[in-house]
Amino acid sequence: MPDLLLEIGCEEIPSGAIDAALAWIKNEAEQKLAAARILHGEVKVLGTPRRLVLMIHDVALTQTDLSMFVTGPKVEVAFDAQGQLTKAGLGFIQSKGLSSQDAFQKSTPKGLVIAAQIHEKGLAVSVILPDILTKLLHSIPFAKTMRWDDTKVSFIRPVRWILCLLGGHVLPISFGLVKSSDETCGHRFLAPEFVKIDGIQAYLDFLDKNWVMLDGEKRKAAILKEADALARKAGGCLRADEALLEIVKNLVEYPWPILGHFEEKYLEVPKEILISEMREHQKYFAVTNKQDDMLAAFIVVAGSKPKDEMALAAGNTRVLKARFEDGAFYYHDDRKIPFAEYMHRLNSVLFQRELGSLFDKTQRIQILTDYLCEQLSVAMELRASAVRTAQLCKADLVTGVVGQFPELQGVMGKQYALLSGEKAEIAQGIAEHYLPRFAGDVLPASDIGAFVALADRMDTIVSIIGIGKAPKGSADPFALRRAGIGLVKIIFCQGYQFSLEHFVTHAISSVQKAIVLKADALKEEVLLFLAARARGVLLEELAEKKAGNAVLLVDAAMGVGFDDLADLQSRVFALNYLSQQDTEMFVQLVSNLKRAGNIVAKARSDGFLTESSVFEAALLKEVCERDLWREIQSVETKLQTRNTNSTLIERHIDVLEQIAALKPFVDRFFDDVMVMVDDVKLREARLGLLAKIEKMVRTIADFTRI
Amino acid sequence: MSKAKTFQEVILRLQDFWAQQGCLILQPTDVEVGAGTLNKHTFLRVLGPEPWRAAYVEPCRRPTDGRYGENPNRLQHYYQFQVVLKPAPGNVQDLYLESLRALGMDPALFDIRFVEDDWEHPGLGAWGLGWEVWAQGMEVTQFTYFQQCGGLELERTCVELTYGLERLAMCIQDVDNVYDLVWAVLPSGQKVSYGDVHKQDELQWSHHNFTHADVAMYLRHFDDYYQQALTLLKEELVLPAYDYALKCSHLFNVLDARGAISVTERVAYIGRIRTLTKNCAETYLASRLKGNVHA
Repeated sequence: MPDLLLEIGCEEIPSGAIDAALAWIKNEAEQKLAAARILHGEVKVLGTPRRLVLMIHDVALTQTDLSMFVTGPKVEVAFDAQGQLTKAGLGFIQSKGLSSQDAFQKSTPKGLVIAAQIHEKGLAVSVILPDILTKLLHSIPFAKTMRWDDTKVSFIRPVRWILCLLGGHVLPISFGLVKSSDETCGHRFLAPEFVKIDGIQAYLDFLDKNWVMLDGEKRKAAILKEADALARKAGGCLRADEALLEIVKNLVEYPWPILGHFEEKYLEVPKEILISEMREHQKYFAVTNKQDDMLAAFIVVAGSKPKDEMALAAGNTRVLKARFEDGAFYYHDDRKIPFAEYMHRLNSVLFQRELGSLFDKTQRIQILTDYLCEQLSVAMELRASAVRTAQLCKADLVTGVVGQFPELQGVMGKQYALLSGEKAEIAQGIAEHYLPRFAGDVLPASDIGAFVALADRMDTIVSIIGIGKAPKGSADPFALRRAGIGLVKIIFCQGYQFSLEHFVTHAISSVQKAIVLKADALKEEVLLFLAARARGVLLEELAEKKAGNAVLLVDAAMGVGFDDLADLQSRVFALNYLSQQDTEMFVQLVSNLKRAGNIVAKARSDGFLTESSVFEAALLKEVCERDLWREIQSVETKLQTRNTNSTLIERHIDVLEQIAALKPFVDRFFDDVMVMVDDVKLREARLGLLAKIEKMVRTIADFTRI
Repeated sequence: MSKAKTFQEVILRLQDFWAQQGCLILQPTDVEVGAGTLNKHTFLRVLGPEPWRAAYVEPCRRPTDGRYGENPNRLQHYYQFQVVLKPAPGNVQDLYLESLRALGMDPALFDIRFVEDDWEHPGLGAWGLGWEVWAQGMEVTQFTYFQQCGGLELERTCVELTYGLERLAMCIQDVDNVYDLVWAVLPSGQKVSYGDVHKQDELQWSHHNFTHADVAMYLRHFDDYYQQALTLLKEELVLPAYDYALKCSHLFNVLDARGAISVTERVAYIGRIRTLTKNCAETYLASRLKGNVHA
């Protein structure tokens, strides 16, 4: 069976768009062929900056025949008394492209209806495919497209040729002014002539010999291998940079890594600046030694076979030199005034129109940092450092280096703070308060970094929601969800115990002037927003632990509150621990406790159990209830006298294990006695027993809600 | 082709090459601009369906890029060679590479690469897609398929090639410092360097841009020129109005370098400049339709 080969020849496609486009093309081609009843073998997509290639092996010559029943309206509607088709019946038959003699009656669950059998003979695939491929070409979802000729057709960059073969013959498709042919070309400079191709193998062979490495993964491997060897030659090793590698592999059709050197004097500039200069602008790899210090060398991946490696390296060094000079200029210039003075320049940087400048924001971050320190009973010295960190945390945003390299925010703040004689913990805190920057990023390691990070995020969330700009649907322009997730994760990681609600209230009062929502409504909205983030993070964490009943556990634990997030997390983990120990026992225990909880809840709402209800243990006469009462007392005693040095999670596990130990007694209690008896005193005593269990359970979770 | 050995030779050969491609060889505007795109020969001429091919040198002022003559290739005043082609020819990438060969640059030797660049100029309400063209890692040209200008969708796609003349010459002459470029070799054999011509400019203008420019005067002039432009637009005198818009744009750039504009105000200033350029584009397009083209 014939193979299909489609090559879309383009002017250089942006590196970041190539892999996504290829993946989409593969998926779309498979779907569209399936929908068109075209059988085929393996589907492959490969590409370079100048070509997106789709290869489908063993494409069927004709579509599969279609044979199917169709049913329409009920017989009473479709046929008249004479058994002739009514208008409705005829309409149905004609809509299927059939005629009246094709109609018959068929019995279905809906009754007797008009039906017909459709037979559609498969057409030649060579007739069907051009349309499918043309549509596919027009619908590749690029982030930004452009026009380039008077046909106004649009694509990510101009399409200049199309190679399209089915079984060695040209399949006629067109895109704008370009018509498909059986020709392709090699490398732009090394093999620019167009050459006839008769199939996939010939095509791949041709590219192989003409300086095009079609497979991005192969380009990547080749770059890595050669760059690594060059870095060793320079006496160091390649600085691992997967993201850069992904970019560079799609900047060339064939990679030629070259080693270059720069003057040692630039190593005085912080390496973060040097690396940013190299990677962001030039796409060069850095070379480091074993201690991760920079060597005065770099690796550039050329896209043409270098006739003179020295000249090429020298040319690239020239650019780097100018960039380093610039980095050094700003680095030098920035240090002309003490770092703390930049803080005042934040007055002219807008945070958000209604919310004032970044200076105003840092004022609020200070207040909230101080509040957190107070809540967590932090020592005075640490508290003073934390507040100083909050004061300085955004100052580097107005320095020259960060102006040039926004990705160095925090990194430069740390550097400049140290150089201005700030304490190391403050400098570190400045760098850490931006963490986590993205999903999966590291969290602040120090308390100071964590306090300021929490204060910054809480201020952003409260103030932005406060001016009515909460995220809606997929639109989250202020990245509030990311801020919320970061906040939750930091609290989880550090185990800080404090009241979330009070923190929110405090944040609202510090931004009061600007907000449009009522304080109570805002607090409610922020808490719900944060609860949703906490729930998401917990579900994610449980998924990592391969928890079986993740949703149940989290919702049950959140059912008794989330004001103390660190406690919430440990309750969830404790529940999960028990659940994973013995899942079956756990499920039974839960249903048991749920039953107890429900009975108590109902009794309360029906007025059978009130504040004035009296629990008289002496009234409990049955063996099972006296046993249960004894066990409950023993558990209560154990929990009161337990080791206070244990961690939160250990304490919660302890409680749960004690409650679990009650299970056989609770079971027997339910089996042997009725709770809701007519004797008021006895009923209150029995309800009282269950209420005691419920109270214990509710220190961990509420199972009645699930 | 032998290498274009001097700075002026680069200009002469580019003019010659693009003249042969049917471009009018024009001259720079006499108003300070930040880029050749702002010259009316590009900004206004890309509007409307009429074919247009032009090439010209444009001296550009970028006050914030001043480095007191101490950076090897950052300048507050430099030269672009601007080519604008409407409609964009189908072989424009090849034409561009031909122009490099005309300068004596073998594209393979110089590792010429087309690296993604989404070009956007908020003050002009203009954007386009294309590349920065790298020669041995140095960005020597901006290659843009213009899509929108003055906030208006272009009737026909234009292509704009903006060569950075100093950078190009540095590659060709294999020189690390812009001031060491050979500008010309006189018939006497005497060499004149780029530094001879421009180093004092860089030093003095850097002091002006960063320290001595009179902020109050610049702010005043901005308001005056802005008002004048609006008045002229009411009279449909779009070409003078456009010059005043350019003056505003330059004044803003100086104020920006001087650190006199806060981020908040920045947005407002750019908004005012865009108002002018957008108005100019619309008025120009309308007057063109009336058969009333002044450009």
